[in-house]
Amino acid sequence: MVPLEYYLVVAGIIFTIGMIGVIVARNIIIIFMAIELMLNAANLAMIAFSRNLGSMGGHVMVFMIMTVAAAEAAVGLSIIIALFRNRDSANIDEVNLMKW
Amino acid sequence: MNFPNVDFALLSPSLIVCITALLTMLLVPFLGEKRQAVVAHLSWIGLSIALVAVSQQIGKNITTFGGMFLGDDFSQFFNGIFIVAAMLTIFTSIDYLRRKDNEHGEYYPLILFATYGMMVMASSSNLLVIFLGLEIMSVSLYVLAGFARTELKSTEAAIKYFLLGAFATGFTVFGIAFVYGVTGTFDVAGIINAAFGQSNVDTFLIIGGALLLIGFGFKVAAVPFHMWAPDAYEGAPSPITGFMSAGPKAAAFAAMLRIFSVGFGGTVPHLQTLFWILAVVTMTIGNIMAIRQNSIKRMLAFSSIAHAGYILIALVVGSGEASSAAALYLLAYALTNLGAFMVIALVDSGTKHDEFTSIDTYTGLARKRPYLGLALTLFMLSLAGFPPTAGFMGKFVLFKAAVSQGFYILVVIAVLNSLVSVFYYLRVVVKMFMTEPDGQPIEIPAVPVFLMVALAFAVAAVLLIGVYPQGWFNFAGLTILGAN
Repeated sequence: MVPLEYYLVVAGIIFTIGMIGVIVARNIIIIFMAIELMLNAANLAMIAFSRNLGSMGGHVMVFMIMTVAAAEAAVGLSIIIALFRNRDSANIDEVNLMKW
Repeated sequence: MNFPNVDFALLSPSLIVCITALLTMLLVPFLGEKRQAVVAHLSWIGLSIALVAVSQQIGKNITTFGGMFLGDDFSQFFNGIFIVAAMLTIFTSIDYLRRKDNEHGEYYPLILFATYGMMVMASSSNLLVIFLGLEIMSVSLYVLAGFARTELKSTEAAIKYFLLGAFATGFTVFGIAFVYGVTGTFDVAGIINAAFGQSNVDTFLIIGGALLLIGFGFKVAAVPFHMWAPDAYEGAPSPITGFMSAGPKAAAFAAMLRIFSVGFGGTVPHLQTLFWILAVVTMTIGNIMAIRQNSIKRMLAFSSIAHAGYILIALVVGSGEASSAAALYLLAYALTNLGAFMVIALVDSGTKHDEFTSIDTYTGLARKRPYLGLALTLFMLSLAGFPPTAGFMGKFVLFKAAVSQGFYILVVIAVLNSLVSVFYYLRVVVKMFMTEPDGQPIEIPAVPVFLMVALAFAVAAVLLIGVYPQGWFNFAGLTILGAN
């Protein structure tokens, strides 16, 4: 059996990739993908812990997170479309009407 | 299979809000374009029924759904805050949306769904349920922030709020995973059991706690996780800004008080130091940044960051008294801020597409409209913490709780901070009373009936909490289930 630590290291790496992606990416869609990556890293960690503990709670939580991520994607993409219609651009650097 | 015994009476407040939201949402397409306000009226009627249901549940202190849903006085107190906040927001919005040419009935069910999410958040000590409530609330609010979808500022507010909110969700979920991994349960009581009596607290538990702190720090807009707040507050429609500063803030703090005061409850001293720094930095940066703002909405956004800093004191102290004080503070802050945003929404609705939100707009307001000027002055004084207003009482009980546990330096910093805040709150008052408007004065619409009712309620409540705080504080001397 693969030890728990391996899963956690992978989850940590994916989470960090997502976090860096949010910070460095300029396209809103890419930023959104990076956020989904962070959520899935959490899912992986949750499943690994759940398996390690032999309890079902983590599995249930993962389904909840997936549902929430889907709802968030629906709302998020609509907001991105509304923004794109107003500005003809999905570049986050141009979303700078309000500062400081 | 045995189905758990569900206490529907206990669930009734949140169920009523949820059902009203679903029904009104279904009703929207059947109403003509001219009759969308019907949804608003059905919504506030549903909310007032839910408020009655809440009052029936006070003092019961029981749980249902196998301990996942709590009906303690703490949650009923917060349910009351959320419902009142939603009702006042709806009263403010009816005329605002019509004047802004943006009267779409979906607005009101979204407010109700957000309220439902907050109620779920405040009524559980289970991380899974808190997470679900948090997301129901946030997803509705993302849409509401961008509700004026043809306005550049509104969509910009929505995208910033959404991206940073979803970013914060990532941290929250990762934090929950670690806490679950250590304790094997999602219940916050499990955290204290796992950490209690151990000389070395598990590293994973501290990582989990810190990640949860980051996630909730985003939601309450604590510095350094606050950068979304001014933009989202400035760009969102004015009534929604008031709602965002009152409801979700209270809900996030309710969840935080449960997780960190009850769950981690002093067993993790590392977090107390973190909260200390977070509180001081949040209130200081919030107040300093508020000074230089020209938009009143943006100024109140930074002021709301500063207020989050004061409330974080309750999490540093972590005593039961501090939790009750934080609850009272949040009630006072919610009523005051909603009241201020009623006046702001009214002034803002004088124009269809531009924005009347600059502080200069308020020049000479009190001379033309003395009652509006007086009301806004009262709210500003309450935000600054002058007696005999609700804001003063909130600060007083909160600082008293901190002093009684020996956090003198923290309280001195907080008092100095509220001294600084007086400057920018009174700037609005000075503009209204003591400056002559130059050039063309702006047209401020007459106060519509519902807004009048809401405004009168807010003024009365702010004064009532200010002059007769005992009753409220006794009620806020709450039972928190699971706290020792």
